Amino acid sequence: MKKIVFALLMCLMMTSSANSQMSQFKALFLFNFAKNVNWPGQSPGSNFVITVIGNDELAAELKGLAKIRKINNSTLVIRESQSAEEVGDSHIIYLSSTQSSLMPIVASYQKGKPVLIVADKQGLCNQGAGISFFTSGGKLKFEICPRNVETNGLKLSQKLIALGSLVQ
Amino acid sequence: MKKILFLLLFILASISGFAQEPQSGEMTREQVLDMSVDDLSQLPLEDLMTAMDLMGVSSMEELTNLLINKGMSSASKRVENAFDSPLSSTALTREEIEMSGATTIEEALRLIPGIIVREKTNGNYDIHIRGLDNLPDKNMLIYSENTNTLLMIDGRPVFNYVHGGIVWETLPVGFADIERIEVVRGPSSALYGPNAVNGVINIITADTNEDSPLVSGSAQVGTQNTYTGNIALRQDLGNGFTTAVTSNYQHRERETEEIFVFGKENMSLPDNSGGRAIFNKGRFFSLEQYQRLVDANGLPVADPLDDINELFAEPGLARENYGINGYVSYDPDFDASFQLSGGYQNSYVNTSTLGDPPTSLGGRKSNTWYGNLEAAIGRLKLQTNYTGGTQNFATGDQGFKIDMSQFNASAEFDWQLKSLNLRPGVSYQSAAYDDSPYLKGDESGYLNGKKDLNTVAASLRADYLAFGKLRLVAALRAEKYNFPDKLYSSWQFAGTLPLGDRQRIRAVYSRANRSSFIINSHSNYTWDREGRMPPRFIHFAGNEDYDLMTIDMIELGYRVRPANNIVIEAELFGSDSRNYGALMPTSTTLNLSPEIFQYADNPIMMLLATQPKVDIVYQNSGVDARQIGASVSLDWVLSSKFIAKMHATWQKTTLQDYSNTTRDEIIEMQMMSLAEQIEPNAMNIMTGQLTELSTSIKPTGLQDDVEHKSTPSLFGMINLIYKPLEKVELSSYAYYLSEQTFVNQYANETIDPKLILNAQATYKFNKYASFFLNARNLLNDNSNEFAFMDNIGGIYLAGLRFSY
Repeated sequence: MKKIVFALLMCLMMTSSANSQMSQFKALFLFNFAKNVNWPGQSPGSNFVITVIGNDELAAELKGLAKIRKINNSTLVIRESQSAEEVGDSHIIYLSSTQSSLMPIVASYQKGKPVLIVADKQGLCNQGAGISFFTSGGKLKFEICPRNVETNGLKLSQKLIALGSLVQ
Repeated sequence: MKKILFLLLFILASISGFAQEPQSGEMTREQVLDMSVDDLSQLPLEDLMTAMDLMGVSSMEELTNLLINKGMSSASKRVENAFDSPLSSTALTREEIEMSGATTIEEALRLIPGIIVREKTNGNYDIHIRGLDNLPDKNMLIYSENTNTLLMIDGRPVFNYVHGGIVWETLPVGFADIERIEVVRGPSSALYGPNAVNGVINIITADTNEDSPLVSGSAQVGTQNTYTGNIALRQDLGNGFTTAVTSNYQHRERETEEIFVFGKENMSLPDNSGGRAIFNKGRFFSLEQYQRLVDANGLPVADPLDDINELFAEPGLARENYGINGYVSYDPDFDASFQLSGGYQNSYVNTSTLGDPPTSLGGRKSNTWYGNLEAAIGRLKLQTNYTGGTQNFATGDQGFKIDMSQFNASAEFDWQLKSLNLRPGVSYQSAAYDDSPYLKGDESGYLNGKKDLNTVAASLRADYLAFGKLRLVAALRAEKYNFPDKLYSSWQFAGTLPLGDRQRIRAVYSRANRSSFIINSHSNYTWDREGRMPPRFIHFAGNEDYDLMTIDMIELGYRVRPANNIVIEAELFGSDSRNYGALMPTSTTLNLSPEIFQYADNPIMMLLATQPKVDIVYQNSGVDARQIGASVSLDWVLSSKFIAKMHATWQKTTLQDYSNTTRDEIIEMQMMSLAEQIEPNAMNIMTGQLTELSTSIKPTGLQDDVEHKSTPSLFGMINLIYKPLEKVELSSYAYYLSEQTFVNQYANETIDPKLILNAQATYKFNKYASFFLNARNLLNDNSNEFAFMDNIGGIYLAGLRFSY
């Protein structure tokens, strides 16, 4: 019985460890996306806000990053939200895979605002996400839809577009 | 030709196996591991991606994404996390199907909660969602077909509108086409139109993109001369264009060439020495024996007008089919996308008959083609498709060969207003069938011309997130049919309340209905039974004005994700379905003349001389089916090496206003009633004053609270997958069906509970090729799963899977 409990605990720990590594890389990707997107009217010294919906680990990783890094001299501010409707002004909104059903609602509330919406499930660019993570062949990849981003007034670097899987 | 195709599949797989894996970049995994977050944050995006590639997505992460965080689109008509689906629904991915070792799409459905999958002959299945099968019973085998589930491929209905139901072997797609199979349990007509009575099965084909393998597929060969193969060629052409060509093939044989003949009292088989063996119960006979069988009156059991070689041209064959499909998609640089697909399939199976012969087995041949166009322009979704071809629903049986054409067109608008999503839609369907090209001379078909069913529908679905949490869905649909000339409405109201991130409680109330079917509305078939027991003629007629089968359902659901790697789901459901129907006798008529009295000392011959004619008309049966049930399911990624999945469904169905009389018993009652009137009317008949006697009497007395035992009360599956080494995968699943008692007009059969254990061992040479050994029914439990059909023993296969 003890062995079974031990094995179960190991399983859960392995999950946690795997998720931590993935959350860390996704946080780094978000940080890097921020460097490859141009927000209109973003002035040095102001805050750069990333709102996370539904992923505590990723939010924690981003908060760690915020302590050591800035984005174009802007202070990185990480907020968490449990609601698609009550997201405050943000530069990036990250929507976790478990909350992907909220994608159309987030997109509708953010329509016309200078926000990069990053989702975490393949196919969500078709529902309004600018970028969406997915895994394929053991690799973390992202699909990118310049149209969804640029209609909100943002400018994507050509490098970012080239590195993603393009969704027209 | 088939063997060449098979060889090609193997060669392609072998070539793939020798290919070298690409080398990684300059950065090493050790260097990445040594980097701090600060170091990593200073990497440019391309280097960060390289670092991530070197670290790789953990197997655990991939498996969790695959099994726990699945996406599905059929419940809400847009991709969402399956955990948030407002309806009872399940997505089964291609990877899960591969891991299971399932050799057909139908078998793979055993992995989905709430689906009853019973194999009839090698590779041919009966499939029902939750049950309500074989209603009304005490009738023909055709009423055991599933007319309650709408099957679609990418939203295109693949449905038999002649009799109702799914002709599974006519699916043009195979495993190489499929991205995932989505199943919505419960009435879903409000989303997808009629026939989604007990649910919807939507096969989603894979998109082609720059990551798609150029060539992928599998091939396997096994006992009972079982061969299967699937191949896909995919190419991203650039500028938004992609293309793919796929093909699939199956050849499966039965363990026997014998056929099951329904029992008749004192049915006998004469032997060469002048004796005869008596058979009161049905059993399997060789074709030669079947032709010699006689009933208690010495009349042949087999229809003397039939050609046995046409009925059973290849009695040892269970299933042979192939399909080919082509896909082109175009994503222009404006807000639109277009997908065009087309294909062809050719199939021949020996499975449960759709006709009404003395045997349970019948042949079915189809060759059909289709074209399907989907377009999304902004928020407007358009889809149109056409399916055409020829289907012979009972080979060798006159009148069953039919030209078919189905046309569908639909338009929906996806309108998001903050927290409210509105999806208005309109659709049109036309299904036309014509048997006249295949009727020779004065032959009678059962349509005798081109007949059609047309449906126009309007729908509206509203999906609202109230208070930022409570999801409320209301879907309404109104459908106008030409036969019956009535308007039907269906609906679905669903509410989902999240309890934190990890729990969802759901409730659904929904109504759905069947459409009419060609034989229900348009049957016009005269069966000349010369040389058989009376009646001499049976005329089957359609009914253009009857009530469509309708169901109301209430469901409660609960989902919980106690950890990131576990999902548990439970659902309770209760339904009330009514307006079932069947072709049932209305009246019997005797033609009377003085000559009949020459047989006065032989009542049977006298009755034969009156050439009794029975009129059978499609009509509502009056039976009301009430079902309660519950399903539980578990998906658990225990570790990167061990996965456990299970589901179980319990159900109980009781019938109200149930008639315990078969079609043939009503006919017998009417004929006997008329026969008894001959002697009292002898004078009038002798003088020619009475030339016809007719009756419409029917048995009285309906029963309530009758347990419907055709549906197993308990069914489910346990699936364990173990990956002890990186290159080795062991998978096993056991599927269980509890006892069932099938009732039709000729016989009852109780089928014992059956546990079907399947296993697959896979060795992955590299990422391009793997070899596997596959056992279906590993323990060779050689019993039948469906009444009057073949014993389904073990099948053992070996094969290759490739992707390059």
